[in-house]
Amino acid sequence: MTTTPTTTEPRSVAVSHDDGPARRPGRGSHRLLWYAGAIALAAVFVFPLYWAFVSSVKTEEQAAASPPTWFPEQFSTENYARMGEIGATGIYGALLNSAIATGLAIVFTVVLSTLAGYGFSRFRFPGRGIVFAFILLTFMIPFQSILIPLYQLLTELQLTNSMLGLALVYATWQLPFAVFVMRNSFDELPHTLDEAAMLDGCGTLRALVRVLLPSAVPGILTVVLFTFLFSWNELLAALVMVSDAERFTVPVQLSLVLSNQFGTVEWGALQAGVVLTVLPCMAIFFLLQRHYQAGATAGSVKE
Amino acid sequence: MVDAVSSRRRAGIVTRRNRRGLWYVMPALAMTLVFFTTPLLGTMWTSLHDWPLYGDSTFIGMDNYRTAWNDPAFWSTLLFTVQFMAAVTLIGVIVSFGLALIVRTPRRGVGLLRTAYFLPVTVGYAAAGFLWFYLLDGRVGVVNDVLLRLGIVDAPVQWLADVDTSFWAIVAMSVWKSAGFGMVIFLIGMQAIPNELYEAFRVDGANGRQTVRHLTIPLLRNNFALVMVLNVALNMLAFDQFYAMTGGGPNGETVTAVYNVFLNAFEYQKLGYGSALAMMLLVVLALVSFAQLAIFRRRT
Repeated sequence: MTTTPTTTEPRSVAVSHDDGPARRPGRGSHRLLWYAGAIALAAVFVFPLYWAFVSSVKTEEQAAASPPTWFPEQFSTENYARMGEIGATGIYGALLNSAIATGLAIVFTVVLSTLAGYGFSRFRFPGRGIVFAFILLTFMIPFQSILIPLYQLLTELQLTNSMLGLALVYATWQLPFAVFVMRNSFDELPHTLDEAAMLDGCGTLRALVRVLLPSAVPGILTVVLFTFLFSWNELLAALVMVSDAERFTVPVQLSLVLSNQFGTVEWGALQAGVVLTVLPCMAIFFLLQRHYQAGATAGSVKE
Repeated sequence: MVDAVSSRRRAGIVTRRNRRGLWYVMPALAMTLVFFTTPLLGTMWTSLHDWPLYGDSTFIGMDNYRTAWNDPAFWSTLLFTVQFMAAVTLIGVIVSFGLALIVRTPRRGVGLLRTAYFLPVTVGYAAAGFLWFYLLDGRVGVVNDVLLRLGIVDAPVQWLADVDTSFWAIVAMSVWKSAGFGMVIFLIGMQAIPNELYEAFRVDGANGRQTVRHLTIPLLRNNFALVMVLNVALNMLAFDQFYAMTGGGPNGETVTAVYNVFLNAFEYQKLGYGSALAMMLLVVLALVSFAQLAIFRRRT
């Protein structure tokens, strides 16, 4: 644009002169139509979430009314209280379990992927290419297919029914993506940065922690966001690895509402559980949404 | 300029320092070896055995694979999963692309719309499943309420009690949940198309539809490929939403491939047979990935 102003400017002016006035009335109604369609679609996408929330603050009776009422006739927290009583720990105990597993998984993933990303980006050690490919290749293999021996392994290590065990599993599954993101974010930082630090007598680890890490924060936050969303919502491994009802994570806990002893579903309580599960995800997404796009493109820039 | 001794010494220091790289990648490598590679080899090993959840295992060679090959349940779950994957991928790609087209141009409120379309992506499949389970319920569900009011159906539909309606209901739920992710990938591609190209098309008298067809779509080929590959992998491995919404029912007709592995291994406690099913799923996925890769290679 700035290098060839003479060629681009006249053309764009010409475009607006020829086209602009003639199209304008059409454009106005077009725009209105666009807004109407786009907003209607947005309503469809948001409605289920609205519905979960509204139902969760109805009374249990109203949440199970047929036909349903579109607005709560009276505001009630009884569903949230009821959710606290279902199962061995209630939803709040399960939230704590999930928070522990997710928190540990994030710590493991961030530490391991930062170290590995630094190693791959800054050191040409023998076997570097092979090790990198080896770690990334696990990305191609669905973790669902290794669940059975993993269960046996964790049993052996006495890590079933343990949030530590779940966290180790989650971190391993997030590693290929995380290592890839961290390698890239170190690659983007100039080598002069850490070389200068090392000339000043810093060791390689100190150069990483003191000099590079502050600039690698966006990459780390991308890893945190994706590890959080994955670990918090993971169901299959949590079902398999945890049988002790005291240690259920949130997605497993939700299924308990469906299978209560009376064979009836407590609809309001179920939606209260859904809201409690979803809120942390939305919160962390809004907090870190700038870093989401970086993660989404990580796969495509590889080519 | 540089004398040989010091340069060799520097080379020595550099090599030694480079070796240190191995230490930095070691923890991640060890983790992968212990919790990924070992279990992967374990799946192969276990699949060659009659291996109950409790008790002793016996080596039976390829018997589990033979059993699976002759097991109608294996084929029906695989077919069901492929149909589900195809439906979600096809509809999902179209919806994602459509959403991206809608929110491509920076206008007032476009940020809000993007957030609205994207919001379901942050919800987990299990939570989304339990939410839609409520929306779709035959007695208290709001979906029936809306359809009845609009006169589209005359009587409440028991969506999740029939295999066809639950199939399409879960397809709809899965598209709702994942379309925003595809939208982001398309948006990234669209933002990379220079404005001058759009202007050139406008100067040549192309209308909106022609511009999308002859400019946007060809330039977004890689984005289409990526959205498709991600959709295929994600939905071939679908489990959560079926576990939450149908429990595999009615009559086990909505059991997906992963669900089938789960049932055989941990409900019927046949770890060996479950492992064989897992290996076969792995091979199917690998074949699908290679096929996709080959198709996109040839196109480019």
